[in-house]
Amino acid sequence: MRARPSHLVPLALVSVLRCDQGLQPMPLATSIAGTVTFAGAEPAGTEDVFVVAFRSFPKTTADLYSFVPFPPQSLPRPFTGSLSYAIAVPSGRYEWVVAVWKQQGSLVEANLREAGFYHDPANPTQPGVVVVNGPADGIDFVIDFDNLHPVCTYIPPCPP
Amino acid sequence: MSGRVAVALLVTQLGAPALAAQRTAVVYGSIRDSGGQPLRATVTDVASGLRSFADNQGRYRLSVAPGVTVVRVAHIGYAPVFDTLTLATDSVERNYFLRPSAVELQPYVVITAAKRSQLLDQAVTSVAVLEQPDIARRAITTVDEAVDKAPGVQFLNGQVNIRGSTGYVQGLGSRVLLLVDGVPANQGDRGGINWDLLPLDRVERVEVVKGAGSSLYGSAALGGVVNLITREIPPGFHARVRATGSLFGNPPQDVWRFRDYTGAREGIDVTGSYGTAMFRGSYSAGGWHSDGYREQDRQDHWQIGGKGEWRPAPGTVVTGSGSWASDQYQVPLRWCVRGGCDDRGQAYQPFRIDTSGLGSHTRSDKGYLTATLDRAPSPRVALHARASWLRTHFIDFQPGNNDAGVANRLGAELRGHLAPAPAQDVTVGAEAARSDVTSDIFGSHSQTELAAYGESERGLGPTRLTAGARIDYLAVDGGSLTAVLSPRVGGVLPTARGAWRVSIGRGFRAPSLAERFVSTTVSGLTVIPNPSLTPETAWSFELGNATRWSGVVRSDAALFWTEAYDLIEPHVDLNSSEIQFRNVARARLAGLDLALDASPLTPRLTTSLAYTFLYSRDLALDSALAFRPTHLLTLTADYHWRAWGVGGDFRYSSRFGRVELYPDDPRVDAEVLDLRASWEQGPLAARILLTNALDYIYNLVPRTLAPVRTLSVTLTWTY
Repeated sequence: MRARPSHLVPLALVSVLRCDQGLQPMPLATSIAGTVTFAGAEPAGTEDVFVVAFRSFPKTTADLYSFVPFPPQSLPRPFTGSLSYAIAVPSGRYEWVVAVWKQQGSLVEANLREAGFYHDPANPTQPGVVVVNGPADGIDFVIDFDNLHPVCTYIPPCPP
Repeated sequence: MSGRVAVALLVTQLGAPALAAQRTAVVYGSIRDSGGQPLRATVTDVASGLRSFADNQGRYRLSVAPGVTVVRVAHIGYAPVFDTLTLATDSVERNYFLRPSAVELQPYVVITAAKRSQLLDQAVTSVAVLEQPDIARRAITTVDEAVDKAPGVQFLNGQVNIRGSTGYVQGLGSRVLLLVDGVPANQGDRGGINWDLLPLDRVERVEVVKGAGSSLYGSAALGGVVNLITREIPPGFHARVRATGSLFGNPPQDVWRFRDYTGAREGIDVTGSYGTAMFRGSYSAGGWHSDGYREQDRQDHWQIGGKGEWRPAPGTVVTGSGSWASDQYQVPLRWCVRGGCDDRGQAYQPFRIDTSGLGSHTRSDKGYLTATLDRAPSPRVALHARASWLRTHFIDFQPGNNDAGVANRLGAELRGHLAPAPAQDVTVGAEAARSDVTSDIFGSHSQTELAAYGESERGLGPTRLTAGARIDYLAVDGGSLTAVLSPRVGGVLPTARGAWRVSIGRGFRAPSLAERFVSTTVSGLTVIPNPSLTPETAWSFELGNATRWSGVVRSDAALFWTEAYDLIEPHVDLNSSEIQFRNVARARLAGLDLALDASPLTPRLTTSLAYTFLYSRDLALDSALAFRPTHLLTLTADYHWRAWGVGGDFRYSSRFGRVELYPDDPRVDAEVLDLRASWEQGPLAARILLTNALDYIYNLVPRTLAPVRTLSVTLTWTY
């Protein structure tokens, strides 16, 4: 007697029953996360406040937009009290994790202010370096609306 | 004249005086199918139950008592033949030809459910049977693989579950009792099971009795009993060589690669036997090496074993058997998670282990010796006596901390079986066992078990009723005795709609010496002893039905319900950073166990379906019991044509509702497809097995990768 294909139907059914692939690779979510604490009153004309990270400290206006994530996502309102945040970033070394205040208008230098940044725990006068291999938690700092610094504070000259 | 024929003639002549003296007759001949192909069929003396197995050339030889004898010749996929013979004290040649038929469904003879021979349909509890042809067909290499696909059975990293009995307790304690030819073989210290104690090639049949079996077997038979029945030693000279080679699939994802070569496994087993009418003996030896399918998973295994029989008089058999196995294996601890190894940016690496566990390995030696005497002074009386010794020894080599232990379990049993009336069977017996351990983590302790049991089966019309009980007395370190009573009642009613069975019984498990006295540290937590642990108990109820439908379909369905009390579980106290085994859990397990066997379309095609629905509840926590699947499904199909065969198994296990240790880990259901092909001609057989053919990556035990796709080739030569 010759084998008929219909005899193999049960095995075919078995194959169809398989509906997923089992365990899959799970890349670590590389991110910077922490808590920001707001100080001072929210300035009039505020549109967004966002947290971004620079791999190296910007030295020119051309470096100004090399931050991640891009485009930036604003923190949720209200800008008072304390707030947990997390930004997705590629793994690597970040020299400046900074909060940027933006007044209403386009994303141009004139509408941006530095509102606070993560400080080096060992030397609080300097920005803290963050190395990201996975979720980098505990990157906490203050956003002080009473001490907003224009871009020219870091990339001079400032306009007269 | 071939050497084999010469040996046969020599054996016949040497055995002739003894045969005459013992007044036995010999039936011999060949068994073939209608096309002339030899069949390795079973020839059974229906009256005595004595059986013989035809060799690969279809030749058989069976010793029977003189007079009128009925022999039954059977092979799966063929209609059985019954032959009535009138024999003097001589030899008679009978050649049989079997016709292909639907699956041969009845009768299976089982010996575990009632500690005596009975037809499967007369057992009051569910019994799953795996015969040697099934085992050989599946081309598997270890005993646990043979048991794993039985209906309602699931293995969790070597720990057997029958209808969800045990869950996963990391090898400490088993709620299933392992028997080797009826002799208890659970470890004396940890109560677990060494599945590599016996090479698979020595196993003739596996019987899995489901539900509480303590009314006959005592401790550990809380969830069921697995009995490994070794091969009978046939008359004449026989030998078998089996060589196996396997290749483990590489990780299906590049980011999981952990070595730059393909892992392999190689093994060889040699068995031989020689038997006369009075003396029979067999030996086996073998070993294997495996690279493993994951990091730090190399294993080496060696084993020897033997069995001898002396039949000094008709109805009297003295048997001695033993086995010794040694394993040296690396210990693949739980898989590595973020930061624990070269994680390559992954949350977990299932093929790698945490670097803190690198270098862990174990040496494990285990062996047993058993002597039994079986005597049937009359057709109504049978006596059985046995003594046994099981010894296990382990050394765990761990970075900065080695553990070791030696354990013994000495046992003895006397049993009588009486048939005072045609429809009545009575089994009575007494059993004693002493377990001891000497270990740096378990201390030096002993446990003594003394027991008496009895069970009676009586026919009332077509109904057969069974009632019995066993009382066990347990003493630890010579202290006071604790008594545990385990009754069981049941009945079987044959009807036009199949045979109905019902039973209720009580099971128990005494705490292992390890659970009582373990003192060690695990992951920074201190494990402290609890000498006041008490036995865990359970009441099991079952209602079942076995029906034959239209000649090609057989079903066996059972509703089961178990109420468990004082289950022993590890209790973690994070305030004191301590772990202690305690009688904490109160559990309920209920469900449906369904098995269907069918031979649709053609007798050459055999199919089966086994499905278990399990409702499990930890009543103390009001949550699902950990490590129990709600659905367990196994589909099997095999097709045979002349010397060729192909087939496959598919096993589905639903995602566990609850796990312990790492409840937030990702987990999936299990979907495993095994495919096989075989060729058998004369003394040679070749089998190819592709396990986990779909390379489904999953785990059943926390952070422990289940086997990946593996291709195995087995070559067997039989003389």
